[in-house]
Amino acid sequence: MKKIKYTLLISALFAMTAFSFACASEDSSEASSSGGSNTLQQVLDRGMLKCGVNDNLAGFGVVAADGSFSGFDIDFCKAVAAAILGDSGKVEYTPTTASNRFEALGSGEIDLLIRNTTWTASRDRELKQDFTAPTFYDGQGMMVYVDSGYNSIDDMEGATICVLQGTTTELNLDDRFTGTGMSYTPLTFETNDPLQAAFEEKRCDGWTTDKSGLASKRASFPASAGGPEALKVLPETLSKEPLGPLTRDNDSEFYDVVQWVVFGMMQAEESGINSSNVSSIASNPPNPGVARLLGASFEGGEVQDFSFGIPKDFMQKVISQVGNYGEVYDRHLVPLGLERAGSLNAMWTEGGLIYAPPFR
Amino acid sequence: MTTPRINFKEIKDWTIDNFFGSKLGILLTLFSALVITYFVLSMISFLSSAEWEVVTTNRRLLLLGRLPEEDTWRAWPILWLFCSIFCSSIGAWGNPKKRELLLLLLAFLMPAAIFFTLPYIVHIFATVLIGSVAYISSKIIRRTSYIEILKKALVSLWILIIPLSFTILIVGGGPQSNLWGGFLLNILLASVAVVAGFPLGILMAVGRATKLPVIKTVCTVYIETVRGAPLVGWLLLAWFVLPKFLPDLFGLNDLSVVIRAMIVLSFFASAYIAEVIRGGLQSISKGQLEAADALNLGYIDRMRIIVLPQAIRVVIPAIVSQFIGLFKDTSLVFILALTDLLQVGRIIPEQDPKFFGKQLEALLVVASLFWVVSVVLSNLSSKIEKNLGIGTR
Repeated sequence: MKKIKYTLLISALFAMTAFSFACASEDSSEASSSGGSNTLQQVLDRGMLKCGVNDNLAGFGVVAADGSFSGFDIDFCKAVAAAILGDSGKVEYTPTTASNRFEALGSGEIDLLIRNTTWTASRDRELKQDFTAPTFYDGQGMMVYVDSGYNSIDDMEGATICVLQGTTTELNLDDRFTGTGMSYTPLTFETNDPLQAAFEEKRCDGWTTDKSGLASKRASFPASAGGPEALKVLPETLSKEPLGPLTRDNDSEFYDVVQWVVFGMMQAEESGINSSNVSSIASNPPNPGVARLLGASFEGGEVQDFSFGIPKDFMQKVISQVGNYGEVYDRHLVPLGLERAGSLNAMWTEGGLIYAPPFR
Repeated sequence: MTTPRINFKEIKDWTIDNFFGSKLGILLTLFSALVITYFVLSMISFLSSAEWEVVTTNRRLLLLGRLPEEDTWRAWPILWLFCSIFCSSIGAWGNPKKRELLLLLLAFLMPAAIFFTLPYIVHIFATVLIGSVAYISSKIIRRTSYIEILKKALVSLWILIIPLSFTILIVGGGPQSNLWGGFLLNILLASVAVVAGFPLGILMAVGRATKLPVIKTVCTVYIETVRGAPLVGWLLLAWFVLPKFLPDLFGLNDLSVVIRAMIVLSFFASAYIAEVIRGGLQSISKGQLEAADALNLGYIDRMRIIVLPQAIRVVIPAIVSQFIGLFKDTSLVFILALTDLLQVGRIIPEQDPKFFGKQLEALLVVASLFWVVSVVLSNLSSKIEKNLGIGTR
């Protein structure tokens, strides 16, 4: 008798659980099927921007000793928060890894992904996510010892190259060498530390990875191995790595805001507006273009609205709280030894690729 | 009593016998000497060139993660609570030798030395004071008849310590739970997983060992499913999929990732513990069951009074080993975007160009913190084993 009682009790419990799960899944399917995503409205309702970032890349995204995030990518999260919510501090950072970042954005755990992510055709097509605008043009480079006599990759016939295993970097390297009929010996490593040790012992002639990474490795090269002066990065770029923020597909309002905040920061630099002069310029804009960018009135005229559903003066908040593109770059990437002049990340007026479509 | 004189001949003979007894012995001795010298030398060269600034500037990040500065005070009551319960438990149950107490103190002092800062000298002194008072007072109570009450109180406190810690972290508008991090997070996660996973594991083990087909099938399926996938997989599932399955009640599908990590770790722990305990159940001889039948005990009483206490006693080493493993598994929660101790150790060398290349210093400190907890746990388990006479009966 006792046995039967228990069995009944347990099966009743299970039936109840199963029933509640059935109800639950109905609920959630209803919730998820209700319309496309409107992240902008969600951010406004929440009063907080959820930004997926890197916590482990010097210059782009690191955690300071007090637990706060800082870096080049982080500043763009702050800029978007300043534009939408008027406060660059209203960001909830989610550290993501290279392998879970797209799922984090896709599942809605984060609103915006700014994690040194390269814009490629396959990602754009397969991920149901959109790249907004490149904020940094990276590319694979080659670092060699100054005394090696190499001035170009074409000089490196038969050289041994240190490279990380299983990365696109390894494939690009092979494309470059075998594609031009040159021989080389790859020396592959799982992580950066043993790779650097091998390079310091001159077990390889060249070290290839993204140029931003090479610059920081060069800047921190130990004096015992010759210091930064012993190394140089060859001018060639083996691959194109445009990095920028991503939003979910079919999320136009939010996509537009993110895209035009980035462009606005570039335009501000071009127009000579920075965090220290933005308030004086906004109160008395020198020309209609600047007035349009800052959402200010030009000589008492009407304020043109480029607001994308957020306050008209959003760029004033972005510039005053975060700064223009050049300020952000100088703050985080110049200390790493990533010189801007002459690189792809210079303003278009100075021969680079940083170019904003017109605010008109 | 005469002081023994050092017999050089004896030492010489012993050395020759043990190290240079045969050709193989000589070879092995030389080889090991070489290896040991190499390791000692490289250790010395590392320690002499090590710069600990990367660790000292990031003390708080390592211990508490991204917990905001204004909430740092919350860590101290938790530490004091833990310290007082831990020390009075030693006083109530243990018979620590001086050597062991010293070892324990040393184990705690090592991380303390790394993290010691002047502003917290009062707090650290208070911790030591609370610990000693708790230890001595429970030693005194042990001589009286109140010891049984104290023991019961301590057991319930060990279970209550987790909700109490949560209360301390949350009370008066605490920080968001995804800011809990560092060593604190590892310990919280492991404690929850142990306290929730252990009873669930017992239930599952007993369920799998019954003859009732429904319960047996359910428990078997549960255990094999949970054990059948890697923890990383379950954690990812908890991050991306769990919110979609949970009912839209009480904000359940907006559950904080810390809670989700706790749920997954508890389930994961329970499946493994269940199998360990099932092993213990199988070691109970038939005579014990027949004795229980002879006493006319029902199924529940038979399990509670006769079978489980013996079964669990047998598998204590394996269970503690599971706990230690689980504690270290908690470092996988970096997958859920949580900043646990190991993750902090990985990210701090990137923080500032002057810290570049200091991974070893950071990771060494992380490793030593994990080591201290693991060693204390395994020592505790061997003490419990000795007290219960496992292996001697």
